[in-house]
Amino acid sequence: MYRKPYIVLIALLVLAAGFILLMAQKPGEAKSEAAAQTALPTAVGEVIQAAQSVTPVMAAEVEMSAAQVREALVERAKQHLFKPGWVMVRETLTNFTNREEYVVVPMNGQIIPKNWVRETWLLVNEDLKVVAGYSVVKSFKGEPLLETIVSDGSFGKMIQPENLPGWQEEHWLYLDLFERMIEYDGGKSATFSLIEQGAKRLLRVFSQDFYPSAGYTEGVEGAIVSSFSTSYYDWETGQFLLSEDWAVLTDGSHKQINRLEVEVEYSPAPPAEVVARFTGEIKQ
Amino acid sequence: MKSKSISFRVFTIVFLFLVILSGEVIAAGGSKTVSGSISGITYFAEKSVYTYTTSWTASAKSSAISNISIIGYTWWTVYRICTDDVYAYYSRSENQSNRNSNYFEDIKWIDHYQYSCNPGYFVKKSASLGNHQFTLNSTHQYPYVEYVYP
Repeated sequence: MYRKPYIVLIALLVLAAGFILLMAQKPGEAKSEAAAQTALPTAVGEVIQAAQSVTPVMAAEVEMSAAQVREALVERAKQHLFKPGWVMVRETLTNFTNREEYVVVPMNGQIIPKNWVRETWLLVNEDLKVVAGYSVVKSFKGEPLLETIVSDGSFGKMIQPENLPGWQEEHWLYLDLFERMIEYDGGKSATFSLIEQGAKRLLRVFSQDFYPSAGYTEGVEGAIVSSFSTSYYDWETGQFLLSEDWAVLTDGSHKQINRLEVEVEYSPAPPAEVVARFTGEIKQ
Repeated sequence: MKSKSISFRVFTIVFLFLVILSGEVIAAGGSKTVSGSISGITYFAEKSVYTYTTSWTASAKSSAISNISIIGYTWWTVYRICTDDVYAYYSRSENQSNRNSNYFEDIKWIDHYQYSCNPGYFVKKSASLGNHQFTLNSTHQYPYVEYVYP
């Protein structure tokens, strides 16, 4: 009489056990990475038409959740990305839609550029903590537009040390992408794959949004019904390398919106004018 | 009877379990709507902000239960400000409307990467605000609606 419900109950328990095992898989652990490695190049997941600077290559799917990939990148970056001394991070945002080069905020005269380069010098101590930093956003013409500075006092004056948590290594990994993915749909719509570029292995992160109503952005003719982003990380060091964002229009065509490139250099020392910022006043 | 009851419970648990596993897409953000009446015709003025993975959107929507002479907005501002009070994004549009209609909507699509905060700072708030326009014959109403997220 009770056989049927018991069978259903057992099926439920098996399902739950499978789910628990799936969730218990440790981030970045051998299983998924080894699977990805052995899959190259024999068991090919797909062929990617990658970004201009990334040659089309064979890709192998990474069987990890968004949270696991995030954690794996953090672990790799902790081991390989920052070194004690000065580190310079250069972020270059190229916008492909701009009709005007910048917008002026009428309330305070602030200029918001459509294309920009942000150069940030970070002083990293022996514990791999950022103890001082200076960041400047410039237009493509080289005009400085926004400066930000921070120091715990171990280099120059003590300047807003309470902001130092936001300057640490994780900030430069663009992990907010993963947080938004997880918030959006638990990271289910994102896909992760490993590709090879020369001697490097890159992690490709693909995510796409679908909008309930079409929207518009300056410089794009037509309404945007969906958008997608492809980002690349150095899978050895965790370094964020590149991201390209595209809009999908109502007719199904794609329009590239922007391209963000990040370079990390291990600089012997910043220029004298940057060092001077830590000892003098900066204009906001 | 008893076995049916157990089966039903088990089915419900399995169903809920599968619903939780499947997940659903809910964009962070929200909207604010103000309603009113112009010459007996009910109208709605709405502003919204929603955040997605690669972008965020802001909208201004004016609607009425039947057609009116002019429906839209007189001005609409969208901005995002960071915790250092620096604007990551700013946009202002003016006098956009439809004639002899009961609907007008404008949605801005904004890329996260292009408009970001300086290191050490985070998004403080994203806002959509301004005056809507509802005109019927020679009667005008310009309700102000502001939605700020979070």
